[in-house]
Amino acid sequence: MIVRDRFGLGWRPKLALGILSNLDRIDVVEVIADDYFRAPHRERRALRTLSAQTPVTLHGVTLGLASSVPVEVKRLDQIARLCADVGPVSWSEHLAFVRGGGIEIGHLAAPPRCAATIDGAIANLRRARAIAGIAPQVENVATLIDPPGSDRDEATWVSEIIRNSDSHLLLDLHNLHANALNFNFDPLDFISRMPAERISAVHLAGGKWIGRHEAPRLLDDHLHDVPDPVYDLLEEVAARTPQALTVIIERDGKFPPIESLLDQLDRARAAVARGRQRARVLAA
Amino acid sequence: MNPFDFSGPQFLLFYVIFAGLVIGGVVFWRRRAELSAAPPRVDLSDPYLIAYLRAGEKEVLRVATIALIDRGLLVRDGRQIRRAEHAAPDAVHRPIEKALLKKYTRSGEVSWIFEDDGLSKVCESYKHTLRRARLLPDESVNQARLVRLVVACFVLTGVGFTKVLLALEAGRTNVGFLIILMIVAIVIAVKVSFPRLTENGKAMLEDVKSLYGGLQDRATLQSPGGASVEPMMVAAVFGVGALTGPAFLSANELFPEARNRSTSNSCGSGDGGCGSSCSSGSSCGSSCGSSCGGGCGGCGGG
Amino acid sequence: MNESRLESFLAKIYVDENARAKFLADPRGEAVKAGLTPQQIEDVVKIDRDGLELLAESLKRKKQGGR
Repeated sequence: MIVRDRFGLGWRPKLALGILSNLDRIDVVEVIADDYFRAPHRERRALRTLSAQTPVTLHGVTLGLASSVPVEVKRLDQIARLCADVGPVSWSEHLAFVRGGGIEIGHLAAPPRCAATIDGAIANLRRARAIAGIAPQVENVATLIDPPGSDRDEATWVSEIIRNSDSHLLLDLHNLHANALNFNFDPLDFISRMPAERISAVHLAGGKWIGRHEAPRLLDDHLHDVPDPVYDLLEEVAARTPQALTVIIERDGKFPPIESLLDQLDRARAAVARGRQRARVLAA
Repeated sequence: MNPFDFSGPQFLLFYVIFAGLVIGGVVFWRRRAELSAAPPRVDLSDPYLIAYLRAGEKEVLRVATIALIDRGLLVRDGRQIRRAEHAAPDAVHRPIEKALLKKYTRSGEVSWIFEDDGLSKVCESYKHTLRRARLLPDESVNQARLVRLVVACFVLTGVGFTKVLLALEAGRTNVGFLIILMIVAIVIAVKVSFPRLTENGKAMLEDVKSLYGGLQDRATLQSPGGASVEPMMVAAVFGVGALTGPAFLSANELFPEARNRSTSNSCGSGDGGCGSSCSSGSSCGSSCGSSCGGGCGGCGGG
Repeated sequence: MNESRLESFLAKIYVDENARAKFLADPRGEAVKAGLTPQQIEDVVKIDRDGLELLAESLKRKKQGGR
C-alpha cells in the first residue's frame, strides 16, 4: 500500500514568495486561522486562491478546547465560516486552555490534567465537530509549568481524550521533546502510548533554553531550526503509524533563507522514509 | 405615468437615471457571469505572469528590464542599456529575459523594448496562459460581453430615439441634449463592457496583492544586486514604483511613467488595493498574541 | 464548576503580576480565597514555582511584542 505523506510549512507573509516559488517541494501549507477571523472578505478570498494552488490546512490558537468550560459557540462559528470560505483539507486546534474567569491568558496553557478537563475537551470536540462539520485534529502543547491540579501524566491525559472523541492527534514533536526534557519523561514512551492509528499530523519546530543556569527549560518558540532529536522522534512515529501523515514545520520568525526550511523539510521526508522502511522490514 | 409624456427636462433626468440603471445592469450581469467560485490554478511565483495580469505587455518588459539590470546582466548608461559582457542569453531561463539579452547585444535605447515585435511575441505566451485561466477575456468571454453591450445599446437607443421621434412629431427640435446623452451613455456602456481583466482576473490580482502583502512592507528593505528575487516580485505585483529607496532609483528613472502609475495604484485606489494578509494591521485578533500572520509563537510553554 | 475555578485562578496568577505576587507570598490563603477545593489547594501550594515564573515572564514578553 502506498502511503502518501505530505510535507509542508506554516504560511507566513514573509515566507509567501519562498513558499509559492517552491510548491514542487511543498505539499501543503498551514494557515493560522485566527489571523483571518476578522479579516476583510478580500483577504479570506486570497486564502481560497492559495488553497487552489496548494492544499491548505487551518490551525486555530484561541478556542481553548481542553477546558472544563464549554467553548463559546460564536468562536466555533468563526472557524466554521472560515472553513466554508477557504475549503481547507483539515483544521486543527490545541489541547490547551487560553482563558479563565474572564482573563485572556494570551497563550496556550496546559490545563490541569484531570477527569474534568478530559470530559470538557471531549464535549468541546463534539461541539466543534457539530458546528464546523468536521472534527479538528488536536495538538499536544508545550508547557513551562507542570499544571497543578493534575492527577495523571500527559500521555494518559492526551490518549484518553483521543480515544474517547472523534478527533485525531496532531502530534507536535518539539512540544513533546520540550516537555520530556523539562519534566523528565521518555518521549518514546509517550509515543508508544498514543493510539497510533489516530495520529494524522505532525508539527516540527525549534526552540531555545531559558531560565536559571542550573535548571534551564526548553522553550518552544518556533524561532529556531528543528533539532536532531525531533527528527528521531519523527522516524519513530512514522515507524508506528500505518496511515499517511501531514508533517508541518512551524517557523514564526528569524526566518532563514527558504532553502534552509526546504532542506529541513527534506530531512523530515528522509526521517519518515526511514521509519516507514523500518516498519516494512519488521512486518516482513 | 408614461415617461415618453415627460417634458424635455423631465425626460433628460429620467434618461440619466434610466441609462445609469441599464449600465449598472450590464456591469452586474457581466460580473456575475465572469466570477467563478473556484479560483484557477496559476503559477503565482512567475513575476512576469503577474506583471502581465496587472498591467499587460509593457509592464512585463519593464519588470524584466529592471530585473536584468538588478542582476547585472544588463548594464545601464543613462537611457541606454546593453548586455553585460559576461551575460549570455543561456544564463537565464525565462524566455522574456533571453529575448531581452539577445536584443541588447549592442547598446540601445530602453524605449526600444516597447517597439520590438520579437519581445511582443514572447509576451504572448503570458496572454495565452491568462486567457486559458479566464483571468483575461478569451473569445467566448468577449462574445458574451458583446451580446450584453448590444442589448444595452438597443435598449438605450430604443428609448432615446423613441423620445426623439415623438419630440420631432410634436414639432420640437431641441433634441440635441438627448442625443448627446445617448452617445455618452453608449460610450460608457462600451467602456464598462470590456474591462481588460475578467472579474476572476480582477479578483486574482487582488488576491495576489494580498498574499504578497508582506513583500510590500519590506520594499524599502530590499537591496539591489539580484541576490533576492523579492524586488522583482514587488515590481511585478505592486509596480516598479513600489521599489522605493535610493537603491532602486535607477529603476524609477528608467520608467517614470510606470512609477507614477504604481503610486496611484497603491492601497486604496485603482484596481483593488493592497489587501496584504495581516501585514497592514488588519485583523490579528488572536488572544495568543500571534503577530499578523506570524504564527502562535510557540505552541504553549509561553 | 470546581475545575473552572481552578482554571480561572491559574489564568489570573499567570497573567496578573500583583495576583501572582500575592499568591507566592501566601499560596494557601489565596487559594482558599479563590474557593478552590481542598485537593486543589494542596496542589497549588506545591506549584512549580520555577515554571510559574518562566511562564509569566514569557507571557509578559509576548504581550510586549517580543518573543
